[in-house]
Amino acid sequence: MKVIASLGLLILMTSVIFGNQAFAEPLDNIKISVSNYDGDSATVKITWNHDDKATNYKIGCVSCNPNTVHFTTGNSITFNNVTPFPNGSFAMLYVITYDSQSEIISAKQLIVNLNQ
Amino acid sequence: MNPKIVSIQRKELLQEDGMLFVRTDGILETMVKAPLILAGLIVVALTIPMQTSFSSTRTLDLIIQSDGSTHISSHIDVDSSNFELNLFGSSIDNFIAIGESGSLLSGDIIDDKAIVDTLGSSSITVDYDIHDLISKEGRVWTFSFDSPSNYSLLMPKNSVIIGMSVLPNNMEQIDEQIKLELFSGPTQIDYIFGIILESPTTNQPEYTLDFLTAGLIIGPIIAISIGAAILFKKKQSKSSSQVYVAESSEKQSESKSLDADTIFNLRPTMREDDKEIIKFISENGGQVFESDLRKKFLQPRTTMWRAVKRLERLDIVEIYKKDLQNMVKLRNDLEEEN
Repeated sequence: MKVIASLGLLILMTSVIFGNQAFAEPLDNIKISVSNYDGDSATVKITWNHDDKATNYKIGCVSCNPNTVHFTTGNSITFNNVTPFPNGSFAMLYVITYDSQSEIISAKQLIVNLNQ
Repeated sequence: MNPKIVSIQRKELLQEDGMLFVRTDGILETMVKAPLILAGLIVVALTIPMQTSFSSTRTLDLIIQSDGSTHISSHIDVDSSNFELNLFGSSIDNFIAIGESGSLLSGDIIDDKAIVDTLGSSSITVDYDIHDLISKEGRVWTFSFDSPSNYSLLMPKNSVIIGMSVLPNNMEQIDEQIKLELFSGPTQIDYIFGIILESPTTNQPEYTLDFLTAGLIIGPIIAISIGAAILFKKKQSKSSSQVYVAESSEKQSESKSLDADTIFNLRPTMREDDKEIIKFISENGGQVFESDLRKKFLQPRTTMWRAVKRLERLDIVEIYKKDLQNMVKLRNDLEEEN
C-alpha cells in the first residue's frame, strides 16, 4: 500500500512540476509592475504567459483619456502615461489574445493600483 | 344768411386751442390687465403638464445582463397621483412600480412612457428590463445611455471593458463584476466577455515536440518507471525475506515441533477428529494452511475454524497470518495438562 501511495505521489509531483505551465490557458499568469507614478500618470509593464495558440495581443488603457491601444506579438508590453480614474489611483487596462485567424481567444481586465 | 358750416368736433377742438385730449383710464387698465392675463395663461399652460410629470430621481441604478438587456431600478419622488415616467426605450419587460408603503402600483406603458397610478405615494420605486441600451457588433457589446441624472452601472460577470467615452466618478470591483458611478449625460461603454467558452475553429496546429510537451510525456513515464523499479525492488526483498522466514520456520518446525503421539499423550482427552487434524499437520512439517485442512477433511469454513480454535485453546497449535491466510502450526512448548 505504501508503495502504491508513493508511486501516486511521485506521478502527481512530476505532473505538477512538468505539466503546470503546459496546462496554463492564455493570460492565466499576468504580472504587472508600476513605476514612475507622480500622482497623475505612471509607467506600467505587463507580462503574461506564452501560449502557442495566441499570435497577437491587444492591450488597452480604458482609464486613460483618450483611451489608448497597443498591439504586440510578444509576451510583455510597457505602457507609458497610464492615468488612473478620477478620484483615485486605480487604472483600468485590458489584454486580449487573438489567434492566427484574428479571433479572440481570451481577454482579461486589469485593475491596477498605480500608487503601489 | 349764409351760415358757415363748422363741424362740432372741430369747433370743440378749436375751442380748446388745438390740444388733443385722450381718455387714458381705459388704456391704462388694458395695459395692466393684458400682460397679467397673458402671464396667467402661460402659467396655466405650464402647470397642466407639470401636474402629471413633476418628479425628481433620487437614485438610478443600472445592471447590464450578460444577454444584452439592462435592468433599471430607480427611486423617484413624485408629486401627482398620475405620474408619467419617461422610460429609456420602448422595449420594456417586467415593469414593476412600488409605492412607498410597499404596495404594487398599476401602470400603463405606452411606447417609451409609463403612466403610474401612485395612489398618493410621494415616492415610488420602478424596476424594469430594457433592451434598447445595448448593441452588439462581432464580439464587442456597446452600452449607450443618455442619463438625466448621475447613476451607477454594474457590468456583467467576466466582462472586459475595452472603451469608455467618459470617465466614471468612481469605480469598484465587486467579486467578478465592475461597478461604475457615472455622471449624467451621454455615455458609451464598449465591452467584451473575457472567457470564450467555445474554442475558435482554427487549422490544426502543427505538432512540435517542445520542452513542455516533452516534459509532459516523459515526466510521467520516468515517474512510472521509477515507481515500478521501487515496487519491483520492494517485492523482491519482501519475497526473499519471506522465503527466508518460511525456510527458517520450516527448519524450526522440523527441528522443534512435537510429533503427534507425544501430543496425544499430553492431551489424552482430545477429540478423535481433532487428533486427525493433528496427525495431518504433523505429517506436513508441523504447519499447514487452514484452507488445506478444509480441503483435506472436507469441512466447511466455520467448522474447521472452530476446530482450529479449539486446538489453540488447548495450546496445541498457534495460528498466524501468512500470505493473507491462516497458518496453523503445532506448538513445540506443549506442556502436560493439569
